[in-house]
Amino acid sequence: MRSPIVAATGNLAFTDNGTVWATWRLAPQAYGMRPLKYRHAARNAHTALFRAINGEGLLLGLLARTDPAAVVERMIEGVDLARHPGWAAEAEARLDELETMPLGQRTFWLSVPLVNESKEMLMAPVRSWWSTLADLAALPRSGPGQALVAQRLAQAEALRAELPSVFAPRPATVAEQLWIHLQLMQRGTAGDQEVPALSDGSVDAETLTIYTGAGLPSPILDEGGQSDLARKSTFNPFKRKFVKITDPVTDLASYQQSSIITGTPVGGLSFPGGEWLGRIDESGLEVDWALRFRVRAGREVRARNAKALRNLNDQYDQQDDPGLSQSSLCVVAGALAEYEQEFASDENEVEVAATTILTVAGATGESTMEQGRALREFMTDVWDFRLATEPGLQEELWHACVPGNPTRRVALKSQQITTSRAFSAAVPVMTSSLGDPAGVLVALGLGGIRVSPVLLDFDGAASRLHSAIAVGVCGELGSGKSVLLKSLALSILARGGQCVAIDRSPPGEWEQAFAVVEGQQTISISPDATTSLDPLRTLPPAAAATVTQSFVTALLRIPVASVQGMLLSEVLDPSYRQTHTLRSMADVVGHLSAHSDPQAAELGRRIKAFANLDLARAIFDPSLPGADLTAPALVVRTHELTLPSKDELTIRHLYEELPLEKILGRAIYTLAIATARRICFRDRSRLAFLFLDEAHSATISPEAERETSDWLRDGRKNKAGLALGSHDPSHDFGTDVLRRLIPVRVVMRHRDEDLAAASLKWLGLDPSTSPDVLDLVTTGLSPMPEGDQASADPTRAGEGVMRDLRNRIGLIKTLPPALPGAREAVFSTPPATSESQAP
Amino acid sequence: MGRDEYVTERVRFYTRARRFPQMIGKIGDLRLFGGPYTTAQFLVGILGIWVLVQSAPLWARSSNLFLNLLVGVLLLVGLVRLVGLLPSMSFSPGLRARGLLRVYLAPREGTYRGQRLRVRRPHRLRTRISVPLEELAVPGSTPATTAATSPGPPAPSEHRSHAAPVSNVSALLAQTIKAEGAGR
Repeated sequence: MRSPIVAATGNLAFTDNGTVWATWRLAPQAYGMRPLKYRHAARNAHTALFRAINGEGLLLGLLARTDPAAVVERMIEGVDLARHPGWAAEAEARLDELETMPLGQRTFWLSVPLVNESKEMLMAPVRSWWSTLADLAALPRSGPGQALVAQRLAQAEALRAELPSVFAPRPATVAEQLWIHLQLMQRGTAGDQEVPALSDGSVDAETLTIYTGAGLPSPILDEGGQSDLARKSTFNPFKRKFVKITDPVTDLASYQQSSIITGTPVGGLSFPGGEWLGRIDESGLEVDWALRFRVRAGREVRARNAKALRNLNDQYDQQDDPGLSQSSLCVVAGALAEYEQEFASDENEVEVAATTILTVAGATGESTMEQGRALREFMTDVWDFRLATEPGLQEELWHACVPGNPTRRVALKSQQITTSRAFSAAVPVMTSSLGDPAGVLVALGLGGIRVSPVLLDFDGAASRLHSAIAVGVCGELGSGKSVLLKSLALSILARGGQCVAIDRSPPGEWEQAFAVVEGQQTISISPDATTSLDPLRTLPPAAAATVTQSFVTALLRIPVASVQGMLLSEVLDPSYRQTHTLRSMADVVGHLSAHSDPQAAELGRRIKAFANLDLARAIFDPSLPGADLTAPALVVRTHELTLPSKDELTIRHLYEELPLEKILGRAIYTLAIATARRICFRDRSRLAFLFLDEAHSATISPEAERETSDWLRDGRKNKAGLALGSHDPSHDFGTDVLRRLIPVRVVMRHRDEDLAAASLKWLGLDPSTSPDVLDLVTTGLSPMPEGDQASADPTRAGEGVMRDLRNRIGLIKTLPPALPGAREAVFSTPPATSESQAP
Repeated sequence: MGRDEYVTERVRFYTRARRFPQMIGKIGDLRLFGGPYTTAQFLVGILGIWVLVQSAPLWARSSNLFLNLLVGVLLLVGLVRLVGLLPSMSFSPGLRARGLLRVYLAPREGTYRGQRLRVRRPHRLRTRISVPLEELAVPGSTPATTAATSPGPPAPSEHRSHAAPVSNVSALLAQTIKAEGAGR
């Protein structure tokens, strides 16, 4: 058997039987764990896809390798590596790491034979006979003429315009057509390649034509791998149900086993949940699928149904016996009536008669057959489909997967018939991939059989998606929440960004993480403070006045418009301070205390009460050097501060009796966030982030919560991002509006069902309709050690469910930095003797 | 849109509504004994009767006509029953048989470009290249008087490793190489 394709140009394949096939690449529908309304939308898109095609078609779902170098290129896109050698080193280390991973994606291709219209009905066969004759006579080949190509391209384009735009159907290039052929030949071997990148315009794809024999490789097809057998050994095709395909160029042999669906679930499938083709990756096997289908319009279907009814009546007559055969005819009659009802209730309904071919491949026959067995078991046990893996027909089934080949008898005989609406419940063209085309590589997507990189592009979020720059992570202790936030921070720093972290952990895990960054600055709010956070010494005069005002009003709990509030405002005014040489908080306190105005003296005395506290040194001690707020990485350690509880802030008598330390703690948090805001909002060209790992510490105070809310609203314009970590998103991420404004949300393991449910709700999922996702969060993510296990499986660390900037939800595994030094730095629990812990 | 609008739906395949086992229970008004039969059983039955009649001398060894008839009927019933055991709807038995036949007939080496992959024994290629006379006017060599014909099999000789041209064709090649070298 010869390949029927004689020439390929653009997305067209001219065959020797006169048919011209057009191929498009389809963009998959985001599915994963998205809420029901998105799943229904994806399914409706599939219904529309089948309804847009009248006649035959071939839909392919082929796994493709992702080149690690391409991923790294996406990481470094837009980053000046000469200026940021740290990111270059990280990218290089990441490349080495990615090369050990099964990176890939499923690619979707739709091939449709174009109808031969008007004179082409005559000319196409004539041309094909001539080309066959010319080949026999060894005459030089001539491709299709330009006029014909233009006419066929226009025909293909008209068809493309009918396809639902949500699939963004893009005409395949000649290189992609070649790739499909190569992939069908080489799958399962080391020759597996990534889909060729789109031409950069150097080759005019429109005029490029390839011919069979020149462009398309000619594989050696060997049913049952007989060439592997010794010359006189017996050959049992039932024990060798595969086809061996050898690429004569590379000599790589791919052993492929194709199974065909011969029986469908008697009770049907439910939707959502029954996406039997879209969820094929859940088999844990690398399965390629091909759907050879024919779409028939309602009128034709009803004519066929009428014929089937006549046939059925005849069978009643032929099987005039009240036994089993009659009852099976009743089942047929019921199905026929139901089918007819489907068409009566929807006049746009069409029939999809599809042959589903599932192919597994390996480097040996045995491994392929083992995979085939597992696939059949999966399809039967999980979906109740029956698969036939026929010996002797493996080569034929392989041909049935190749675009350009006519539908073969084996495919026709195994067609399963249903409506477009029912078939679309299989949601074949779906993806669970997440993230952006470029940016920071934060995780690997685990939704498919091959892992996919998850990148977050915060610059793009601000400029293209007009979304707030914010990330929220929630999970229980030890679920990997802090590692994700610290990894993100180090990536932003390595790319030239600026990060401020408020570190409430006693061991100082953020200080340790930032220790690898040159120019890192730590401000410890403790009696042993070495650096000052005094706003009057660290911030520009105007900003200093505002920040100090809000700090002191929070500290003294006085209204801004009160006499003392107004007095404070006057004193803090930049010109007043310049006149009276008030350069620090200590100066202001001294000035007020010594003031002749009793209100001012009272104000000074009250501030002094706080200034005398040990913990307030970092604000009021003028001997400490002021912090350098231009440092790329800044950590404010607040572990020694005590904070009021929610009750203490809301119940009046508790509020009145708040101890000074708690009042100071709350005010310093407000000051730290206000200072961070001034730092991060300063430079619009540079991405800057504030990390609040224990977000409840900040959101508990109304002033700090107001600061974070303002941040989320205005941060986008200033390239200022906010990253929050917490155990309970329903309480710790502030108000409802604040919670909803966070676009990137990650939920990690939560063994507590209530907290897990609250986290899922925040993610956008309804735990009552997604019980499987609730189970996943409570027990499935980074499972805890069981029984005799000493520790949890390190390869499962950092698993979570992510919602990305485009509202897609899927399973991820977070990636710590690839560089060994940075990687060590992000893992918490710093050693007790660490130098970084020294005051 | 409310959640209630997204109810779980049951979807089915309707293959059985259009493809169901075709049985033959009667011909005209005549009910077939032991029927209904599948199409395969019916065809095998007809074929079986013909084969049994043709091969009667082989199996009808008894002098008792009744006994011979009984053996014939038993053979036929056995054959038809056997065919009835074939699953009628899962996978076409005809296709299965075709596949098996094809696999046994397929060449063991596999097929390449739709044809049997033949590996020939090692053999020599004899060339018949004709080159115009003027092209052979290589400076420093004897002008050839006839068109170069096949140099024949290169005899195992010490000259093979020498750089100097030994035949007209190799002289031509040397000239070409020189010309290319000069062009660079």
